[in-house]
Amino acid sequence: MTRLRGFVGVGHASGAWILDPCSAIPPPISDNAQVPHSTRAAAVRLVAFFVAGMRLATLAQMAPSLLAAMPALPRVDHPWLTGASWILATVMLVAVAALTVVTRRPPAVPYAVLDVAVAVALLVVGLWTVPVELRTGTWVGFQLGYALCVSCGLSAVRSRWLWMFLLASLAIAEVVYIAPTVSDLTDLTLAVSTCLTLLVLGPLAWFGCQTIVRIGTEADEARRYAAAAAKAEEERRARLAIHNGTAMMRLLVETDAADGNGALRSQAEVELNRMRAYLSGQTPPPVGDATNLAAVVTAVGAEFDDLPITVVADLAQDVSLTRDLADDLAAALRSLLLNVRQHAQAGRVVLHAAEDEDGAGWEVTLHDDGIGFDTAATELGVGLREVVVEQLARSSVEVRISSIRDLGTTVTLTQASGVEVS
Amino acid sequence: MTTTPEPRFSHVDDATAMRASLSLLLPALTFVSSHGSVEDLLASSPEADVVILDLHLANTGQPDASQGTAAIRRIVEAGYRVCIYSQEERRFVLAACLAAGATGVVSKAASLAEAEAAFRAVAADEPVIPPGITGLIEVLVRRRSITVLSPRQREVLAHRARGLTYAEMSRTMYLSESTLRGYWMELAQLVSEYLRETSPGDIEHALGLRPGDLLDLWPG
Repeated sequence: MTRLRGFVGVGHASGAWILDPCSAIPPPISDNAQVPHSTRAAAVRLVAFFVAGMRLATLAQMAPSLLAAMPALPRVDHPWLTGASWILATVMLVAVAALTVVTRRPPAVPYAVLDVAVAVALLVVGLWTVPVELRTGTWVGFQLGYALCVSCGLSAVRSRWLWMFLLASLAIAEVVYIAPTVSDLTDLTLAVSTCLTLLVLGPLAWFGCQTIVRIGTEADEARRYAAAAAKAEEERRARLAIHNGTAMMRLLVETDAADGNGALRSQAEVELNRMRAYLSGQTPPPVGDATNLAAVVTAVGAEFDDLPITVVADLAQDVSLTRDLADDLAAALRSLLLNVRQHAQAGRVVLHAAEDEDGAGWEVTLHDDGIGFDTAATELGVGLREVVVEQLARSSVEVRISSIRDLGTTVTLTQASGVEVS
Repeated sequence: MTTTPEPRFSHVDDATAMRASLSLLLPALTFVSSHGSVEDLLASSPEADVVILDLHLANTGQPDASQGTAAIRRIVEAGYRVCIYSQEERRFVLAACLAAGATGVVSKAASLAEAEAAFRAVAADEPVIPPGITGLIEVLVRRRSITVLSPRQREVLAHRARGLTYAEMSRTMYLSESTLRGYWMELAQLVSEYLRETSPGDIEHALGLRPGDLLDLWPG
């Protein structure tokens, strides 16, 4: 006897299946799937605004010193170099901020590399353009603040190694830039603190941005999964609502029984109500009042009195079912008996229900002596898969199908001992 | 080499058409006589192994004819095996027939092949009990009213109550069909004895029926 995971019909030489639909989860979502209202996109925008904000804040902090520095250019040692440094830094700050705001993404990897290269160049050039005493603690020596701003804007660099290289380049350039300022222990601690600012805040910004984007990505995945699950559930409900109805219609069309067979008409009416309830978004009305296992089984058996059916439910008199389980069980038995009616060519059908000897669980068996089928080679149809296996699994009812060609088929529905169904 | 003699059947039914047609519909069986009443059967004393008996024999032409469990008892006491062949579907009535000594119960709704197989089984002294009655026996066993069955016999009973054939049981229980048939015959024998020897009141109690529910049905 083979226990199946999922719904693919792989059986065993003994001709029996145990079906467990618990693995019926939506398939994984591909990376290319389009998700409306993407949280990841929102997270990327947030990171972009953070980067742009850093650039503009740096520019704002540089502005007073810039206004003071421009008139003083003729008096410095390298006026052209100094002016070019200020202009280049300003252009880069504005350009990258504008690019980031327009694209709503942090600077891509080439821009990030260029940004770091410019920052390193400004630090190196600063050796000539910024007096030693102005390199720390002032915005005349804007290079340190600029480098810090750049180090916080590398979130688009996914490669850890590239990011570490860029950060190390900035740190080394900083060390070179501020090394001449160190003349005693106090200067050394100040220089170390300055370097550590870049080495702490840069990684912090990078990890923070990466984490925000990852959370957004995971939120999108969760949303996709929920959407796929909801879609699968809706399709399942649709199949559940219309399967037995279509089978009934087929019988009515094929057998000319609509005029004379009251049982068929009654069943058709039940299924019609179920389909109407589905289309109107309402809960299907209960088919009968019975929630006692024996009564449910007996009532369903009576609907199929055109079959050579014997209902044996003496041992199920003391089993009470929940309303939902009673309805699901009745629908499942109807689906199974419709199968018998349509395919089995049975001379005898026995529907048996019994409580376990310890009184904790129960078992319903439907046996027919019809033509049987090869369980190893036959994939389950919608009725067996959705209406019987999957729907009953929601109430922890296990379905086992055993069939032998030319001898018959037995379907066993078992609710195991100790299962609590709310 | 000895060959098993072909079983001989006698048919009792008040319906003329049934009496005339059954032997034609089942040409493989050897019918030695047919009768409209049990009284006529017993008066003729045919050389038959099995009497195929309809349950309802009284009609306007023979209002006093024996029928039901009384008829079964008379035929069994005359030395015949009895197989009920009736449209009766009430389980307690059919169970009463077994209590009265019938070896098998076959519905007239059964296919001819199924009926023939059942008649032959009765001829071989193999009880033929429909699933509905087997279900009642299950209840008696579950409620400890019948306590003499072995675990294997109980297992066979459970499968039979669910309608499984010997071939199907053989695959799940890993026993030969003949072994399973043996279990079933022993089991049916024990149950028949229980039904014959137990009072209707005790059976009513075991089945959860009201006092007197079986009184009119059960053989006295």
